[in-house]
Amino acid sequence: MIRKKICMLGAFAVGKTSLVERFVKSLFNARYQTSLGVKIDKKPLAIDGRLLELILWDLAGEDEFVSLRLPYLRGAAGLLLVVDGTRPETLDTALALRDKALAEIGEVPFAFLINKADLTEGWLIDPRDIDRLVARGWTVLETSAKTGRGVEEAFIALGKEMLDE
Amino acid sequence: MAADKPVAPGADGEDDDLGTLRRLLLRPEQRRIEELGERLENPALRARDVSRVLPEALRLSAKDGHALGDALTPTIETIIHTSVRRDSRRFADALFPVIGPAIRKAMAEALRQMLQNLSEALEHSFSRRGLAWRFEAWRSGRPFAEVVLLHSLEFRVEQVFLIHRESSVLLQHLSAGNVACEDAGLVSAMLTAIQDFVRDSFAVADGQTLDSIQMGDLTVWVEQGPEAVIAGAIRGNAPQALRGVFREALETLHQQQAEALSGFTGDPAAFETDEVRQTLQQCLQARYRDPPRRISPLLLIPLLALLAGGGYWAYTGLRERQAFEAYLQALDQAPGIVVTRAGAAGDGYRVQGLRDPLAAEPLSLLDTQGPLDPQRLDLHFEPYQALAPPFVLSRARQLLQPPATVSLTLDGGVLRLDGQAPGHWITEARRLALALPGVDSVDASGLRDPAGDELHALQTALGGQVILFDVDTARGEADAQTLQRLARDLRRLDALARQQGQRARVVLVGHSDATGSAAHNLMLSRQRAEWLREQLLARGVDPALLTLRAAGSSEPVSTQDTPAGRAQNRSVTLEIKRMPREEAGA
Ligand SMILES: Nc1nc2c(ncn2[C@@H]2O[C@H](COP(=O)(O)OP(=O)(O)O)[C@@H](O)[C@H]2O)c(=O)[nH]1
Ligand SMILES: [Mg+2]
Repeated sequence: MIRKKICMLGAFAVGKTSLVERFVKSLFNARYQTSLGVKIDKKPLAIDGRLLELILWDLAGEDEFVSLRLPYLRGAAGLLLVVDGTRPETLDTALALRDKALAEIGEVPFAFLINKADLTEGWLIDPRDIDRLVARGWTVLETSAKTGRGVEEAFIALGKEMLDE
Repeated sequence: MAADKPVAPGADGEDDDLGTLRRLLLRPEQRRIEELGERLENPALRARDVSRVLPEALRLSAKDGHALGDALTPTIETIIHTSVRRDSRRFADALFPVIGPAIRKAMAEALRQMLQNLSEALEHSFSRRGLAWRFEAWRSGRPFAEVVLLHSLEFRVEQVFLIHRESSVLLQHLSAGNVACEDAGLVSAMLTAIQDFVRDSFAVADGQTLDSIQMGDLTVWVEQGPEAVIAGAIRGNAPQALRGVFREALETLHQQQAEALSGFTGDPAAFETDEVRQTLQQCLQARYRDPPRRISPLLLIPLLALLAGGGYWAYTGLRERQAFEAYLQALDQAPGIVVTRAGAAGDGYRVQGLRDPLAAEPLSLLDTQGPLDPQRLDLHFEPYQALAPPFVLSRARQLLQPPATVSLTLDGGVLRLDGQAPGHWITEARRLALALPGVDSVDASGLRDPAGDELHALQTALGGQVILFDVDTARGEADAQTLQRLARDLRRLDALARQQGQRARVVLVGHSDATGSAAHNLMLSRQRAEWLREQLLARGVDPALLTLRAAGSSEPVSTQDTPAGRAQNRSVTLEIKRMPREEAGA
């Protein structure tokens, strides 16, 4: 079995916690997240016959006032950058977080998750912006923590990339 | 000062009186106006003035409504944000006395739940003591953990985590009593997060880390190394000396696993070794005080049952060990078995040694009715050849396959063979016996071969037989009895030769006297041999035994010059040959 730490990054209320909850049957009450600035869960996965245990660090977001606790990124083997499809500015936050995180911990696999895919009529994000991410060779997936669409796939996609590293 | 400056004589010119009067009347006022102008224009003075009235003004404004507060809010927020961004640590320092305890409380509460799981798992360890305390907890309605503490536990390291420092990934986890903790991986990550949090938030000096976290009656000790961290969850009051144990274990692990640690990429398999577990195991220490003084009578029943069980266990164990000792002795005394190593292994016994394949089967030496279960024996014997006389003799018997009439004895490296045996066996045995380990020479002088002797005698006797014929006839004079005896001797010859591993051949040689033509004599001699063959075949002699040769008068048995001699020459004689079996078959 391989154990890897991955970090959920993204602006406030984009759905990081909801995505993790969708993916993992959480064991522990998450009240400590507000004070500690991180919530940790684990999820075992079988990828191509290999066992991978993800240790998920759901980091309290980067906002105008809540800054990311960089030490929490240490040792992460992958990043999930979560964007709220209904709030275009959260894409900029995610991009900024990507730069900041990679500068801190070096090159690791990452994927952009455009969340709240169930609210497509409310989507304000410019599809061309998404295309630009794809054009850079980055993994971009649409997810919905509400319906579960794409959630499992997103974690597996990142897990696979980390194993291939 | 400007106010004191004399008015210039020629300033107002001739209109002196009015000017003078005005100067006289208004001088003080004019000076004040000039002073006021000065105060309004000079910022330093203005600031001093405002500062004098501001506190009162704010007080008044607050009394009247929120206008001032509302007006100030955006500015103050900006100020605070800027300040936090510029130096968050200073801000944290300032807030610490207020927020610190609140946060710690929240953390403790959130983590209690997690550690409750840990302790619940631990509580399922069914030590005898644990069962008794559980019973007491049930009786008194107190939490089990409390009962444990109340009783005898001084401290116990219940969980040890070996954590990769960089990634906070769990490398190995041990728990007292082998309680599985499914979420050890999570706990290790959270411990790391808490440490990061504390380091980041509460302005601890560089290099200093949180090395002890108190949570209820559990204390988590954290020992930091350059690559790995050991965390131990301890119940009770651990002595400071335990720190040294943690540190030592951590140093050992850094040495042992230097490569695995620095090259770690998420696969904890490298740390799934006995070496790592043994090192960590040293951290799982516990110390108990004396057991509780007063035992409830109700508790005595299960305790006595357990003690009785334990006593029985100890008793059967002792009996079993004794049986094992006895078995080892039996093995050691058995010829051809050498025990090189023996002892308890796993939950059974292991015996290693050498065994001659001719020695007794080791398990056959075990008393099957005894207390030692053969299933618990792990026997490993390497084959070897014992040189003790019984084994040399056994091997000699196996190799030589002597007939029942032969006895073998060994006397200081000399193998003595006595008794009766066929000659071919004797020859073979002399040759083979020398190849046996433990045999230096062979003494076969005591061997006799009666069949061989008989064969020899028979051969001599038959070789002298002469069957006579009358003049010019091919019909023998021998009576039926003589022919019968001859046939019987030939059959015996055949049988004895076969016994010796040989084949006999009997050539019937026909003769004639010298009277008459040579051709006639030759024909006559042949007819005589043929006649004898007929007679012998009729009496049960194997045709394969007999061959014929016509000698005519060329090989006279006796002189041709006397009638008696000539009578001898009208005859058939027997030539006996013996040859090895293979040659005969060809
Ligand atoms: N409709 C919809 N709502 C979502 C989705 N994901 C999260 N939310 C909502 O968005 C809000 C913020 O979610 P949360 O997980 O707390 O965001 P976080 O701050 O990134 O952890 C919550 O009210 C969620 O119910 C989604 O996929 N679809
Ligand atoms: Mg959240």
